[in-house]
Amino acid sequence: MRIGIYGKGGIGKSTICANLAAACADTGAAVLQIGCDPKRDSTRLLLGGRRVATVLDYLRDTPPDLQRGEDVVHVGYAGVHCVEAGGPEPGVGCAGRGILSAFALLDRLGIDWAGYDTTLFDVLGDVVCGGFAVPLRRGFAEAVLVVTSEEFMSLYAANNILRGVCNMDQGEGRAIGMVLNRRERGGEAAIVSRFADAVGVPIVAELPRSDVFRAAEASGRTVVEAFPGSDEAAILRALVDAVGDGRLTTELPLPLSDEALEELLSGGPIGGLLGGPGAGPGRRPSAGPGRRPGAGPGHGPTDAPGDSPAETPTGGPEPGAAGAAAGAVPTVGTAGAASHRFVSKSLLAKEPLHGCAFAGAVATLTQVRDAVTVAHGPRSCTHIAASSLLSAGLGTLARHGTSVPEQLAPAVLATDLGEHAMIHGGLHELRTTLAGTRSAGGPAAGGEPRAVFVVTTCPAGVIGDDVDQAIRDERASRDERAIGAERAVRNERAIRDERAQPGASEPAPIIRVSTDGNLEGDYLQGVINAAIEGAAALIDPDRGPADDLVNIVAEKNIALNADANLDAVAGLLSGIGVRVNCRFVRRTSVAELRDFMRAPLNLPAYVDHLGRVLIDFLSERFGCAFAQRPFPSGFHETARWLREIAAFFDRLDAAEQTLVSCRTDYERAMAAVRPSLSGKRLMITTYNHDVDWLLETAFDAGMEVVRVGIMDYSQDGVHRTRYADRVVAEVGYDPERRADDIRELGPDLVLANYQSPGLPDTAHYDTVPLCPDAGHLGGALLARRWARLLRAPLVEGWRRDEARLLRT
Amino acid sequence: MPPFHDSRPDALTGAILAVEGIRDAAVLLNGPTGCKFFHGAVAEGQLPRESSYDPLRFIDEFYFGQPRVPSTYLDGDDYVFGAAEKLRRILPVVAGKGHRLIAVVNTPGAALIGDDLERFVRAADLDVPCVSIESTGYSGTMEDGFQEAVVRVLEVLLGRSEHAGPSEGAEDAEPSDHAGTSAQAGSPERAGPVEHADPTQHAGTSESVEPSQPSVALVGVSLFQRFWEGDVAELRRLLGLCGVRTAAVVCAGSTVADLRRLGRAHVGAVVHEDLADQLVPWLSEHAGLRIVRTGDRPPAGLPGTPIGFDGTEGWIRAVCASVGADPAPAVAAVDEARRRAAMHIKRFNSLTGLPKGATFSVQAPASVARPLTTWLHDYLGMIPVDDGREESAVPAGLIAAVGTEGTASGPVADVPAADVVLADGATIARLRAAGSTAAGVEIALPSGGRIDVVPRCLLGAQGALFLLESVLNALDHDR
Repeated sequence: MRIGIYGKGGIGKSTICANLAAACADTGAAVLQIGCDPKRDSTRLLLGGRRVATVLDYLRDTPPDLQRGEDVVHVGYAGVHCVEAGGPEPGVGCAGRGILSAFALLDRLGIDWAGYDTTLFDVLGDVVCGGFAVPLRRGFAEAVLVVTSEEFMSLYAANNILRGVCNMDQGEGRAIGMVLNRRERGGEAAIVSRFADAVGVPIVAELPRSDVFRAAEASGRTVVEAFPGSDEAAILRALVDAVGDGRLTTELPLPLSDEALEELLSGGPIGGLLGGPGAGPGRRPSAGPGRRPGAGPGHGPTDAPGDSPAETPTGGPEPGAAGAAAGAVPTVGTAGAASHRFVSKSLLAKEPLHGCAFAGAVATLTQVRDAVTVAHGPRSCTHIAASSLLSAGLGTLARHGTSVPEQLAPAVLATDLGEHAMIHGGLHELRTTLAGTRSAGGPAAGGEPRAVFVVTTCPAGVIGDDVDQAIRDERASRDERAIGAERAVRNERAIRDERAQPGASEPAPIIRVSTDGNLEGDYLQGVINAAIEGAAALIDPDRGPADDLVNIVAEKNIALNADANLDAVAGLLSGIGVRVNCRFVRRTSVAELRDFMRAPLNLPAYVDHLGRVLIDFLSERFGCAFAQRPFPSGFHETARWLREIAAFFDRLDAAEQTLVSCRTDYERAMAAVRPSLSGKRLMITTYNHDVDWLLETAFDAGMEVVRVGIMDYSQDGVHRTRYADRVVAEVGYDPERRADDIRELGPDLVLANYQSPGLPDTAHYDTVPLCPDAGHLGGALLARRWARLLRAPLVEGWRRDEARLLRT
Repeated sequence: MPPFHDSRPDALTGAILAVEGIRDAAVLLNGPTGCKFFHGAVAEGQLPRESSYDPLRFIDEFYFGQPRVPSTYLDGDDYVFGAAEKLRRILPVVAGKGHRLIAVVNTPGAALIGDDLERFVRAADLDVPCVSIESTGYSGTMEDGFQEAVVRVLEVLLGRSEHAGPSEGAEDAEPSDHAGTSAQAGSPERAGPVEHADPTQHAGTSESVEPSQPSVALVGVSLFQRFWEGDVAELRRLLGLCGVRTAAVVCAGSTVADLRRLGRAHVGAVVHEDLADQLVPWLSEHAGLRIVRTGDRPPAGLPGTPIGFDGTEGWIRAVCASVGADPAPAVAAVDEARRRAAMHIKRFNSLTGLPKGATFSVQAPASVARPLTTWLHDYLGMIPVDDGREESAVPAGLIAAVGTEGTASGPVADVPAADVVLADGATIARLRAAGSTAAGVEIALPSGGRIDVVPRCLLGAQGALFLLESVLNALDHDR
């Protein structure tokens, strides 16, 4: 069983939690205790007084590819697995967010939740925000124990916790009881009994104030370990037995209003119950179904034949159910090692994050034209993400005359969270927006979307909305609707004796893609997550391959020449009788994604970091075959690329025929520029790590390449060239050297991704695109421009004006 | 079907662009780079300070290849542990650029962490006034964010906040006298406060000032307006003809020094009511500024925003009356524009019967949509078309006033009947993508990418001529 232990700060939760863990472990059970308190001392008594590295420190200090589960899971007394989430120093940061991050990391690292017989979550103080409520979410704690004393503030906190339980439970009870930890000898325990009775949650154990605890703690041990024969240890073991035997039932508590609580504690009558979801408007007249008949103030755990623990949720990505054989040793750090390889370069290198995963995911998911993307967060986030799409769409339209509706009018529904949601959570807005997607179609869909994606922003991630729960609710609602629609179809069929379309009323899948703004990573991480969690979730692995088809993988949606390059590539492929099946993920559809596996070969548009990550993923997950080379630019690359694909499809003759025509075009183009460019000196400084398309053009035009400087780039770190014998490229080139190099080397033409001011006026300068034009003429078209450029004045007149008027 | 997300900005954008609209001020964003890049690009696009896009020029930590809107590049660790260390480091770096005001703005996510911005500002002890904006709100309107940021800035500059800085009270100081030394010492290449793209366009104190000359501060102009700079220049020109000096434009092209002297303007003249409705009472009470409002929120009391000839004339007359100036020279300039317009309309009309009866649709904020609709209808005889949406920004009162078959604002993507669509670049592109043959006239951001070297404007006499030219060419092309 997985139990969340809550209570007011300083009430003794950690001590009780560690003792329960120890008592559990003594029975031979596999036990995990997770301390969810920035104080990081929850498991200290299980570890001989030792404080251990926390998950959050580890997350911050360890590169993603080196993170392993075993580094954050420490083995304590009787084999108890101990984890400390950790958190910020008091007064700074967001501890709630820390817990969310810690749980997300444990999931990613593949912690084997199902392998533990008992998991205990020791949670700081009140359920003050979404972060502290994480253990209460479905799939984590199945039961909640509240630790309280007889003091007012402790009961006040207990009442607040029960409110949190109600909010999370949606009508299902999970409170199994309260542990009364007496703070004063002879204190007024009756008041706790009154409270327990009022809220409908029994006291399941009562611990006297005792020096035994202090003595055990002084030795860095639990009472169960240090004083196994003590009365206190016996009480704790009895509680463990009661839980283990299933004698404690889960209750839907009836928390009190603040006024009612005050009245109760002052001895007055009880009124003004808050109730919880499903509890009804008034006080529950009697114990609900399954409530233990004898439970009441001061009662300990008793036998309750027929009662059973809450049903374990099934399905979905949440941690698996408990119930593995006692004594089994769970493993950690295996699953995560594989899944965590699909990370962006910035995350991998712990570099500053460029952009946010939310925007990257929105940019990618909106390329599925008949899907709708729900953006959960404030308006500014969606506006910024949409503006980035628009910028690419408007640029493509202006430069290439190509209209990309997926960027000009992206199918995004935003929850537009306001102030209220930041305080009270935004699930209402999310549920409403998800429901709204039922009647929203993508720009090309003309009706109900075929899929719904959900992405979240930083604020949504910080407040910790339980997005998965909202999605489950919406799925359930759609399933009901689909059943109704199916019935209607059947009825209609009976009347008309027509054959209904199978699956016509099948609800669209709702798929969450991890983003939380940039909490999951940078823009490229969002692109990666959208591809592997979103688009790839739609791929039907059972679709068999068909002839003559290829998929395109890892195009750049912000590149203005993406579609022009696809046209160039498709033209080459048509020469060998091969067609494009699906673009992963650009300007595609749910049906095309489902049919992804029909293409026996996949073509990466780029083999940069993103390209390599997607190749790795699709190869491992679906066994996809890939061409080795990216989209070609220049004749040599085109020939090599086309031959590779043709060999795969056994169409080499057709490829050679196509290349004859390409070679003629290319040689004609180069012959035209050679008189102007031959013998000219060229210098290149660029972020592009693959510059062979430029070098081929330059060498074929008879130019002398005097310097290639490759600067650090956020998207790639691997330089490759076939011209190593003709020119040495300097990777990690310092751009500050440019002016000196130009003076020293005397190039006629300097190429860079951006024109920089302040360089010597002894050379012509031009820009080269970060994403080259694909096809055999990709470089030749640039060379034509270089030839013209060298005939232009070395220093244009406006530069003198700029120097005279703008720099003053 | 619910409408998909449109591209309207929210309060964060309004706040950032309010500060970036001050020529020598800078926003320091406490947040992730995802919130930075867009705003850095828009601010630099709308009020350029640099002449190059080369990211290598701006490789300092916190700048990420852009000259504007440095950020603390918050990541997951910062959300958990706070951004204290980055905040401590970034403040002196930004201050070293020589800005005369720094506004530390929390992004929506950062605002939830609760980093105490004031504490870092105090601890940094900078030689430049600082404003801290803990939260710009969530999903609020751009207009609200803009105005709230303006108030925060003015509170500091006018001495009503504890972070007014060492220059407090130095209202007469010229910009070059003010807190510029650290920049010149620290960054000689980009010395001085900031690189002004065109000092002659400076809306503030660059012209000679006669002590008795009536002056006006323009209120309700934002960098997020497509032609803000041309609009300001045109209003300045017209007011200047009447001997009225434009002393400042609040957070749209003026300097910190201009804003410190805001209270010396004889009046504050509202240009766009939706960017000024909350500012007006604050300016009256705290800056001692007498306000001229020529329009109001719907239902409109015309003329409102100086769009079209009548609207412009009404606005000029109201402002001149408030400072005791003679509006005749500006009215004469408007008449000259009317003459030119009438001649072209008559020639066009004699051949085609147009523009009367041609249809149009407008998508713009209410302060533009209402007067523009009125002018196109009343002056050109054009017919606004309605897409039937209830959320149309044009009030029913106006529909009744113009007596047409429909309204003229709200989303226009489904409108098939308009001959001319006046909207932002994205809407126009969407229409074209959807197969619409309507001619598009871009009047708002986001821009479709057109580069305007010749300054354009929507307001004033020149603005009316620009609109007329666009409409006539669109209709001529249609024929």
